[in-house]
Amino acid sequence: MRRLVADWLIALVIGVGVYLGAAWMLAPGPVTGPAPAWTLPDTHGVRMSLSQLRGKVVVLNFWGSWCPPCREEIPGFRVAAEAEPEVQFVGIAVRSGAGDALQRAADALGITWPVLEADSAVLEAYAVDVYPTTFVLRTDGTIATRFVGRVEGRALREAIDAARR
Amino acid sequence: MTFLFLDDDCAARAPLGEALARRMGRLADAWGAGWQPNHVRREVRAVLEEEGVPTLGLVARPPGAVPLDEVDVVIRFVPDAWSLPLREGVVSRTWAIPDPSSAPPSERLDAYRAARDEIARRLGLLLREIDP
Repeated sequence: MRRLVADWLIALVIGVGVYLGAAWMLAPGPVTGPAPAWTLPDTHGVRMSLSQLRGKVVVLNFWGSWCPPCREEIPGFRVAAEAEPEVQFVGIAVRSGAGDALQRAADALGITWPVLEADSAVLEAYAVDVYPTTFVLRTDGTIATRFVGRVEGRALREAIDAARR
Repeated sequence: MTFLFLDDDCAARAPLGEALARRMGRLADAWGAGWQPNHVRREVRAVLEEEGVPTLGLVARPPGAVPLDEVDVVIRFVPDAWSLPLREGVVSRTWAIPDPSSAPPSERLDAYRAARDEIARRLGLLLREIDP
């Protein structure tokens, strides 16, 4: 009897492991479909929701002040943001402090758009594993493009154009 | 000492590095990871096993599945287009070793062998450098 229970436990552990592995391999994160909802605080403590941005093309940039490629792409983002004032840029900051400290970090990088503090739920919902990761959302709130890693300004502007179509 | 081997694709060079580093008994641990979901390629197991390197438990995983706070040394197989929140003082290296999975099918197994041998060689040099 004890042997039978042990065999079942081993089978259960292997089964759960295989399931979790397969679940990750089959679910690379949202690259299409509706963008997961979020409500997050900005650097002043004011909560902002994705639903408030419906009707706009949104550039959602997951970044960290500790992350060199995140910092390197900011100038290109700023050029795109100035050229596309109707597009809403939003930074979601990861492990980069909060409140005034986060705002100072954003200011130092020249970020001129709202910066929100990430929580684990939004990182999980968007399956963000590496930084930067950037999503371009259509006006209906669906995901048009996902970039993993540093984005050049030209590629970002092309993705914005595609999101408008 | 905990090593982390990073690649875009978690199926080839990253698990090769993980298995080769774990074989070196002085190491506490080693992880391979990449952000593109995939399976460990069968050639990885083949070229490791022909050298007697254990492959049991070798899996493809995303960086989020790695205890990043425990990592001491990061080896990247791709240029620094993306980053991870690692501790201050982590030793970081980028190794430009060709991705064997992109070799033509007739040359692929040899490409995996070349990647295996080059990773093992560089790992030996790095260990002597950081842990003489």
